[in-house]
Amino acid sequence: MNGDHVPSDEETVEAIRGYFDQEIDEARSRLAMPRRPVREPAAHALPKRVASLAGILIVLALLAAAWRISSLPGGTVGPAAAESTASSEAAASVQSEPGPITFSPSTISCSNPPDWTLTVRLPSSVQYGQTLTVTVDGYWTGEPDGAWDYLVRQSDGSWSATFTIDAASIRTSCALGGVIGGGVPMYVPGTHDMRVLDPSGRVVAEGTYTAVP
Amino acid sequence: MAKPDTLADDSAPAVATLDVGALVVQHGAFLLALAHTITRNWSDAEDLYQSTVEAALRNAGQLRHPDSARAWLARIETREAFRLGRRLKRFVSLEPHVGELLDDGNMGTSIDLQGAIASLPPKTRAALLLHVYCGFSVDETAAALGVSANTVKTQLRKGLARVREVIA
Repeated sequence: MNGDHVPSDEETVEAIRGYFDQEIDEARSRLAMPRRPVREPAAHALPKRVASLAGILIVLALLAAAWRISSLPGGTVGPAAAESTASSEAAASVQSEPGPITFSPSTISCSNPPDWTLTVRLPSSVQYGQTLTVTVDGYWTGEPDGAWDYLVRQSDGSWSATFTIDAASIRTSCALGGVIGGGVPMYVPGTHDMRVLDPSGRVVAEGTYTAVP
Repeated sequence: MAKPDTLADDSAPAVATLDVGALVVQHGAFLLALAHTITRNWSDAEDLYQSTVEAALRNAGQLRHPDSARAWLARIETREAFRLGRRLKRFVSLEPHVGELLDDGNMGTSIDLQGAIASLPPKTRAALLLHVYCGFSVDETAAALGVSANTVKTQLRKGLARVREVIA
């Protein structure tokens, strides 16, 4: 800048404070920022660097870290399933209606949360490897990168997976007011709607659960 | 002298776990900003912030005084960031994020100043935030960063000098 001016300590400190003021403001806005409402086809295309903590939590806690392979009769897993069931897929009629997301228990209590089991069923119209997006109450929460390692192809061509969120993770979120990361009201008391969307933004699975204090 | 490997404050009864959650919320912006100060990348910062929240709740029984929560949380976060070699390596390899610097909307701060601070080592940036901005003492800053007070003084001196250069 101006080489003739030697900034005082106060000026230097003031510059640093101004810089960090903006860092704090940016951090505050990121923490307060609700997830982008979905039902928009481009929901999956958000750059990774704007993914919120909710995304991290959902991706890690709900799916990538917690998927449990379903052992439903006739089920096979992942890529192998996609290949070995090609003929049965061709034979089966393509389903496009959203599948259910079931929660066990259907009411989750923050005061004494149990391990929480979620079972997702996707219709046969969903293609192996498609990018799926998970939403809660219309808030975009993330793309479960590891989902296709665990989804189980069913004999009718649909997909199924069961996963468990451990009680400790739920307690962590409840201790933070039930709001995960950027404003996803995952465990805020009330009824919540969880959805899985395909790359076009179409709902391919949906379920409702209730959270209580 | 700093005690970088302990999170405990043994002088009083533990704060309730739920209170720690509230403290995390109260200091959330500070923690996320500190994480970004260290990582220079918002995605990594959010990752680090989340790890910090989880670690804080896991170690809730070690916080004795709510008044010292911010320093305690800062200590957890910097420990999470710096103690693991792979994380440090990852963070260092990612910086500086010039694109993010130009793209993060901080138009009120000169690019020179942002660049100057971003070019400093992660611990020096964190020292500036904790000491200059947050008012941590040198000893508190040293404890948070897991280094000696003399190291912090050196970091601060170099950091201030670098900033002074660009605002001159």
